[in-house]
Amino acid sequence: MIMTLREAKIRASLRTVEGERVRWLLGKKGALVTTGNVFGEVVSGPRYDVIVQKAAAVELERNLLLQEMEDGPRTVHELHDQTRIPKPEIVKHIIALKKWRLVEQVGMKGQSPQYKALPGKKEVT
Amino acid sequence: MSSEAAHHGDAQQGVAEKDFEPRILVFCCNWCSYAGADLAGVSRLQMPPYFRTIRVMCSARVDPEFVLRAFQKGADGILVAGCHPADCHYIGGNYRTRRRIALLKMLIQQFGFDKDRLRLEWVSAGEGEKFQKTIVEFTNTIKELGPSPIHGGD
Repeated sequence: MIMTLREAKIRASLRTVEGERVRWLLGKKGALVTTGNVFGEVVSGPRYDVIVQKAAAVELERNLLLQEMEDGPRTVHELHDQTRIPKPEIVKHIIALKKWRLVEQVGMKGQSPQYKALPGKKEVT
Repeated sequence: MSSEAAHHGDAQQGVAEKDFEPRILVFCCNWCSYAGADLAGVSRLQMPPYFRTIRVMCSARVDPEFVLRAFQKGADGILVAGCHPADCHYIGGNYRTRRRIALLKMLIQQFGFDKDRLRLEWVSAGEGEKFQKTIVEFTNTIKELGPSPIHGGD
């Protein structure tokens, strides 16, 4: 079980570093720290580090959940059992993933809604 | 545990530590670190034989995926060696590497790897001795940490 979770986390990490959000943040350090974003807001170096680490941690958890939901519909309880992520965090991630149309509710298991991952942009032909 | 048994356990651990041959991957940039490694070689500086070097054109060529895949396949430690800051042949490649390595150190901890299993070091073409010292230190660190968690270590 531990081995499986580690493998899943490694795969999720690979998706995280390939992901748009983390790559964009890593590539934009110079601009964000010197000239600022489109609103002219300049981010300090330490603040930038915190933002990147936090974004990567969130993306890692979301990718871990997405991987599980790609294998079939899952409830929040099942996702918690498989990933050890706290349930309130899972709910927050699912709300975000639904907003980005990466997951959808496909049914109910008892009183818990089941969610399934939708094909990502890469898989759409 | 009796003192004899404890001694026996220590001896076994010692043997296991002695037997452990870490698999270390070293990414060297073509312009500085690889030349530094070459200098260490031609200077006949003694280094542990547990590392394999991969030459890349710039340390920024080391995609985070390379590091994660290497750990996934069982590497015990990874060293990324690049030019000193402001000496990069491609102007700012090593700054990118520094950001990526900081991120990767956080990510590898998420799946149970010690952050010391990944190291970034600046080695110039004239620093053969520094390359040798880095390799010796890093090998010792990895030996202390033991086998990769993929192989059942901590």
